[in-house]
Amino acid sequence: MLKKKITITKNDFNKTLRDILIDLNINPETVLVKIDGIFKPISTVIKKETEIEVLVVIK
Amino acid sequence: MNIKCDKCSKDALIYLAYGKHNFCKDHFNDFFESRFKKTIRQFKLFSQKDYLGVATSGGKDSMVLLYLINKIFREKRINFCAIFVDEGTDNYSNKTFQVVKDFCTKENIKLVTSSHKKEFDISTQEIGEKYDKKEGTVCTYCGVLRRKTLNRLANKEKVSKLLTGHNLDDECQTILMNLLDNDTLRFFRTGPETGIIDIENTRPRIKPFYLTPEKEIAAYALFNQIPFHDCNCPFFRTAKRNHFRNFLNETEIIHPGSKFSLVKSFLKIKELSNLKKIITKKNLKKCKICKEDTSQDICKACELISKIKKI
Ligand code: SF4
Ligand SMILES: [Zn+2]
Ligand SMILES: [Zn+2]
Repeated sequence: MLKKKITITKNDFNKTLRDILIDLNINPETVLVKIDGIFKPISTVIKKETEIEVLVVIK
Repeated sequence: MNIKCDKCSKDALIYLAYGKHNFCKDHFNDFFESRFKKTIRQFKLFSQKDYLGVATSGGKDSMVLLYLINKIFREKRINFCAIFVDEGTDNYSNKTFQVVKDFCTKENIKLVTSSHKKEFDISTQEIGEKYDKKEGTVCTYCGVLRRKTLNRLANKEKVSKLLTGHNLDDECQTILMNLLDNDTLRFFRTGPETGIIDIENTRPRIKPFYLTPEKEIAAYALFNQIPFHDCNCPFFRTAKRNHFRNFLNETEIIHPGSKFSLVKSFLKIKELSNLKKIITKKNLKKCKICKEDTSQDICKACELISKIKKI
């Protein structure tokens, strides 16, 4: 399973993971996201610098 | 930053845009399993008296299917077995088989197997080395042989229903592909249960994940640590299907729930059409080579095999 690590910085604070992924050209319908090794819903709003792990579950 | 589950105070793990649901692991599992059971009831896919054969490739869809049948229906005393077809692809089939075999051993599930080599005296690897590109991709051959072998194993094992891991995304892609190919016969052949009207596959095939999105199957597998293999078959080529997969996933972002709507519209059209009556078993013949049911003089598998053996 393809995994990508992405760091979310200031410009994207207060946006949902879903919107951040769309901006990065990643379809949120095809991935699951982990933060600190725990799955997080894409409705999560990012408020501080965060490293996310994106698991591509639909090729 | 943490989003709470809609149903309890735990942190949510997943968001389902079409229903605006945020669920923790337990409530996602409940939601997922309820829909699985409801699909089986709604389409009357099987009953207590059936003997189920679960077509298991080792991928996430079929492993979650086998896991759920074992989890939910073993205690209801419904008989089932796993069926595995070894395509004979170097560095791939052995890995997929290992996943299935280990799971079946651990859970004490009967495993029925055969291979392309055994059934047709040619493996997918050998097909890949000599196939006729005019006949499509290696998958064209491998898919036809796989369906035939599954049917043979199902007949031999006397299973009454063959279960496959086809999910909502697969079904949406198939509907669109058949529609845009103007292939009305195939268009109406698909559905949660096929095989009765699908002449070359006389064993009824059922799809308990007919209304389950692919992403949720992956999530369920990962949340519950269900083993599956995720390696790519070296011959995997489905450019056309990929196009529709991308299109559907793009649409789903803008209009959440589109995949459900597409399948539901399809079912309504199917219900309203009387084309169903045209697709009957009236043209059923016996293949001149393998003597199995077909709509032609020679079945598709025998036709492809004889072509490739001449190359
Ligand atoms: S990807 Fe194609 S060739 Fe490979 S196992 Fe699947 S159907 Fe066969
Ligand atoms: Zn909950
Ligand atoms: Zn034949």
